[in-house]
Amino acid sequence: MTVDRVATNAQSQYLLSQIMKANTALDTTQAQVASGKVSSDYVGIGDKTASLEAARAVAARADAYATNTQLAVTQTDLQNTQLTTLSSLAEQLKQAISSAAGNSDGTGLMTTAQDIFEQASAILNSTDANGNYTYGGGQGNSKPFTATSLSDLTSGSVASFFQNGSSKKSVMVGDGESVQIGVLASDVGTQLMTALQNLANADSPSGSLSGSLTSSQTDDLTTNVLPSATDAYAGLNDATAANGETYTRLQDAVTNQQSQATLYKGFVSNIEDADMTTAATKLSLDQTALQAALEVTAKLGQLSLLNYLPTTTTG
Amino acid sequence: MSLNGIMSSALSALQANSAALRVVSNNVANVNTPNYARRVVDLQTLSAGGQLAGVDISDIQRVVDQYLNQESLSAGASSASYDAQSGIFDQINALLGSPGDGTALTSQLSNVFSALGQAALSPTASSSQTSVLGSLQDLANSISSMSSSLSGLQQQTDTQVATSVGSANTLIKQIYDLNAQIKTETASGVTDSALADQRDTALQSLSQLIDVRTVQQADGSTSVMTEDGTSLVGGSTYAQISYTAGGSGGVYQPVTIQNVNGQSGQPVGPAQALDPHLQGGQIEGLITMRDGTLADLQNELGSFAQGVALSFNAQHNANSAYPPPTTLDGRDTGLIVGDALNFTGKTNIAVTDSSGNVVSKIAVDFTAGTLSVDGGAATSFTATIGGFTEALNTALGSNGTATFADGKLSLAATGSNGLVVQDDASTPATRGGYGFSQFFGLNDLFQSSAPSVLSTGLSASDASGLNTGGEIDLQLKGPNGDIAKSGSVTITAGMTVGDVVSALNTAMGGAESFTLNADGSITTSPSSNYTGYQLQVSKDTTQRGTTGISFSQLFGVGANQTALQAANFSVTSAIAGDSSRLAFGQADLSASGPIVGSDDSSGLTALQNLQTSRQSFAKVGALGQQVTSLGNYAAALYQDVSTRGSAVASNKTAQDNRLTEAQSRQSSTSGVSLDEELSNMVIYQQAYSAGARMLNVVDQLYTTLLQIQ
Repeated sequence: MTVDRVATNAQSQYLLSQIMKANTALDTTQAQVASGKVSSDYVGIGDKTASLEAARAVAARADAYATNTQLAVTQTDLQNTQLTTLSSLAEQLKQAISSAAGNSDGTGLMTTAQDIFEQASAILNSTDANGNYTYGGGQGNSKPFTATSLSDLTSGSVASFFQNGSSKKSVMVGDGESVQIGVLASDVGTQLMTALQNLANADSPSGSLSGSLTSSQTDDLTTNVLPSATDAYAGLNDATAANGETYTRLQDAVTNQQSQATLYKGFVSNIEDADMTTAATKLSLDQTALQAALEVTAKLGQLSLLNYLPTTTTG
Repeated sequence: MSLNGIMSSALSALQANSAALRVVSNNVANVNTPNYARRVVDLQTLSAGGQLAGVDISDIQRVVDQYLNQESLSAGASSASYDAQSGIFDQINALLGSPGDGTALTSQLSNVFSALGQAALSPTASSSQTSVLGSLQDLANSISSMSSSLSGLQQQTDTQVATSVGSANTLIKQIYDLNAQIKTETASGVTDSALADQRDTALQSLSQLIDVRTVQQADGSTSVMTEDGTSLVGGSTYAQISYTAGGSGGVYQPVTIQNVNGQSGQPVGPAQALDPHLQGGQIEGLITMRDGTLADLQNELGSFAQGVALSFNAQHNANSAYPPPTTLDGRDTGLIVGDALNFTGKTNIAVTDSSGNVVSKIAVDFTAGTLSVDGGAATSFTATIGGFTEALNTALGSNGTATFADGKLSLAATGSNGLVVQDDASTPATRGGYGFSQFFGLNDLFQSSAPSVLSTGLSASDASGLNTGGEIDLQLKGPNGDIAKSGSVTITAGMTVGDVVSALNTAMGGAESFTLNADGSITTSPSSNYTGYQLQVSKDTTQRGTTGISFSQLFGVGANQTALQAANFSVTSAIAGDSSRLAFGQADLSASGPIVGSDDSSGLTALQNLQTSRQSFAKVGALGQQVTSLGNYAAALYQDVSTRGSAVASNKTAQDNRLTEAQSRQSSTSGVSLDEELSNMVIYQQAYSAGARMLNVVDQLYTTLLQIQ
């Protein structure tokens, strides 16, 4: 067996390099423990980078969907209140007409109708926080319903008073999945306004609907006006129900996207977050390794033949 | 034996041992000198006429092992190569940021879609538009700043190559000079010249720059060559390496090597490219990063930028802003007035008032070559870019103007009126596969240094439009930096596009083929002998008219062109300066009222769909040809960086360990051991003392002899 020579300088260099390596390892582990992350750069993530970034993007996307859908939920909620009001207005109209026809008494009928008209047109022309018309169908700057009084309705077709656009607002609630939340003024207002127009037409100057009504007037109300009010009521109930379904669908989508975001954030965390138990154990091991390297270096530094040779030799 | 004989033997012991102590003392003195090889003393008997006559030093040897030295040089070169690469990766990592810090392209892209989503319910609110514009600009800034950082890093790496070449030249000359001096010393019998240590130091330094192999000659000199045998220092010649830093447009010239006569300094033989001969060392590492990783990453980033520009621009051109913009200024298409129109299908150009109501509507039928104003009679126009622009200008009449200059189409409406351009839904206008508005870039969202639309719609018989005298220089560069073929084409009068393509094919002699596709794009591919070789355009002075667009820019020819897609990537100035120009609506030309709604978000929804829609990407760098979403492509780009980075890091560790091992083996042979020297010192000291005592004894013997009376 041969014993290798050990060069003095090379030995100290070697020991120093071992100390440096131990230091570097300790530094990396310390950074992991301090930041909780596996690495502060992409190289440290290695071949999981694409999965990490893709998962992060999906999580961000799901978060964005959830946030935006939540905004749509608020809007749908507002629409729900307004559509319910429209529906009850239609019901009031129906009842007013049927009681006037039943009692042959038109007292207050037109006042009620004017009141219903005003409330309904205020809803149809309502604006959102940005000043855009909620039921404008893409035309946010111009009033979707242009008749200003009940008597206006007699001057033209109902359709001519609806100036809203046809584009219904929709919101993306998931990848490639969009939900239409927009409601057009013409869709929810036409039937009610037709009923009101019929009523206004019945209230012709020759025989206004006030006080006690003639039989021809009650017949007119029963056969021509009442059915359109009933239709309006039914139609608005349908519209409210459809809006309610949209509301539920949006809320489901929010829950769905939130859980998807949580799931993908878990993936992200699995890749980029350090396992604290492992990191802490490794920290202690690295500390020991550094301590050992330092001790060996100190010990070897003391060992030299020089210590055992006398400074003067007597031959 | 005489007393004198004893005395001279003892004297030789004093001389030999003090000489040996001098060697020990030199060894001890140089215990920490790098590359110092310890000396050992060979003692031999001194004889006089066959009789023993004391001791003599036959030789003082430098203890070196050529094989261990070679391994150390070799490991040093490999380690230095990865060291250089890893240093550059540290900078790349710094510019990419940390995972999860929100600066990644993937996160920026997510932010854009998130901002679009938030704007969906109130598309025209200025808060929505400002935040969408902000996120678009952040994305564009990330792309362009990453592109400029990478290109800056590439230039910096290139400068380092030139610096290292300078150092290598100094070292090569130094080794050659030391060789000459050592030869003289060897001839006069010196075997432990201190110059040999200096030469070893120079060799170690040189091996950091270039991978070297040495051959020890009998005359004491050392021949040095690269590991593949290219001579660096010969008997009477040495090599000088030259390199001029600074490529143009990402194309760098090779490093050349020239042997010169050591006496006269005159060149010997032809100069040749050094790049293909380098297998290790800092210079090789730097070139690998410059032409490999850094070039690839820039191209991958360029490819991503082009994907972003093409997909967003396509949708944005199909959308309309509210209120419709008064002017639509197109991109520099590189087209000139005389170019054939080459559009098919139909498009509509409408002038509206500021509320979106139609003032005038021009229906263009490119297939029939006619246009009609407000449903009037169809009038035909000349099927050239200039002819069409003129006809359109006439058709706009007092409502607006259409002009075409320097490759750009500009439309302007009169007063506060706005413009809406929309291709026909069933037979859309197309040139090279792009719609009318996108081809001219009338309503582009993103722009960069290079045109994103590379399908020019030009056919082989179309006039090339390139100014006479322009020159295109091409080279086919191999993965090791060798230039397999270079060629040049000069534009002559009357050349068609087909003529230029044929001339390029001829110039490259079949090594690279150029094909003009039906959509007016050019595909290039190396012949089977040159798989993996890249076509580079080292010079292009051609220009189409006054457009400032060269042949290679127009068609995106050359490996480095893709990188330019990301350079100066930005939101077009018209939109950056006015967020209300963000087009979130979609015009309905058949509507009776306003054709663009102020609160219409259907175009915005279409933009949102780009998040998951798949784009096709050509093969670039390490990323293969693929059809994937923009986000996934960006993630793949980061994956490529980290894969390359971790490969370099692990290679660096392996080569560092190899170097440490080689150095430790080398030093266990050549290095000074203090303990060993101290024990030698004791031995020589004792021998010296014994010799001196011998003299003392002889002295006493003489005294005794002289006392005999």
